[in-house]
Amino acid sequence: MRKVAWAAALLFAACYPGGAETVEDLDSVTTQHDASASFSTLRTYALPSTIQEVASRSGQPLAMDHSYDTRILARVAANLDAIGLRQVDPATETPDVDVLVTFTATRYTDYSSYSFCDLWPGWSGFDGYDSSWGIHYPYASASVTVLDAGSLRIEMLDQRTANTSTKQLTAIWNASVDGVLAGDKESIVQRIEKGIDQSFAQSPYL
Amino acid sequence: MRPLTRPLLAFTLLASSAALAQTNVRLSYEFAVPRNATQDYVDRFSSRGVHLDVSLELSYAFHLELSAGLNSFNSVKQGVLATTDGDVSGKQFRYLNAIPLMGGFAFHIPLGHGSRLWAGFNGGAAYFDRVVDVGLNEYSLSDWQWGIQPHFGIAFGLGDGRTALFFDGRWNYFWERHGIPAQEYFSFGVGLLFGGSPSKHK
Repeated sequence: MRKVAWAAALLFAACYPGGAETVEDLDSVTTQHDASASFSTLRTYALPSTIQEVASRSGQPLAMDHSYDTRILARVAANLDAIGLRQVDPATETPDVDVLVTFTATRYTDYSSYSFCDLWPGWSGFDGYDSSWGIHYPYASASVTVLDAGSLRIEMLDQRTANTSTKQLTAIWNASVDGVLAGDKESIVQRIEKGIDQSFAQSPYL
Repeated sequence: MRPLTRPLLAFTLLASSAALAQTNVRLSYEFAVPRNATQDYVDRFSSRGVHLDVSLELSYAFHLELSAGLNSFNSVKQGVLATTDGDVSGKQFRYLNAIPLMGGFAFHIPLGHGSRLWAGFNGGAAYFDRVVDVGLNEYSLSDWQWGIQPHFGIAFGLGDGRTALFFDGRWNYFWERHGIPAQEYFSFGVGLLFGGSPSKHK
């Protein structure tokens, strides 16, 4: 009977569903668009030559290595060219859309005090204490790092519908290439390039 | 309120008198196979399920059935998921937990020595909890859906007349509700039946 119980327990354990196993499993691409925008009439775009950093509203901002800007922007431009748009110099020709590329890198950390007596009940080292006691960390670095996450954001701002009274440009399309910043830089850049391609592939209306 | 009082009273008396008669309890481990829209969402066969059935004999061979279970499905898919946040692509880790709570009737045919055959029809609802993990985000959609659950089974007495090993099968179908498509899956259980032999025909 005991063997049957062990076999049943192993069967359950073996079949328990796993989640992400590699860093790539956590990569995702999110795209949004303005359904009322006229994408079919787009002809030209302008693209700045640098990627700007934007800080997240939460977490600790991380610095970006800009040595890969040219390569990433070239991938964005290649995809824009592939959908039939022509890159122009905004100094000489007003484009239909401005395409802006930004990057956010954030370290998300989590830390909480805990009731140590509950975790080691009865240990003689805690004589005189009970479960109402916690731990105080007087220094700022007492944090448990959870993960470093990065987002490359591509936005398409429609110059044709610029609203001069409200001073607003409408973002008719945006893509967010999100993932965990782990591994060497080359592999991260390759995952970003793959994400850029995917963002255009899942936006057939462009 | 008044129109409900008499049926409820009758049901309570019926159930309590039935409980004094022959009652059996069935506890089973279940496998499940998704179909149609459920299969579109999670295409893998589930090996994680459990079911509890209480069977109250109302008259010879005719039983009131109360049933509760849990079937957990999961699968991994690659693709684009349409969400309120936009279109999200990436590896999707999909989970579906179905918790059917049903009631109905069944005919039990005694085979002697604690063995029996039965077939019945349950109706009720199930709570479906759907979760999709993509990247660092989680999307979920959960609701109750009305449904039916025809079932059959066979039990083999283990010699003491009170316990039997049984195998059963169910077709679980739940209608579309609040825009969530109809859910359908087959489940097959193996378990133990506890309770007395069916009463003798008088």
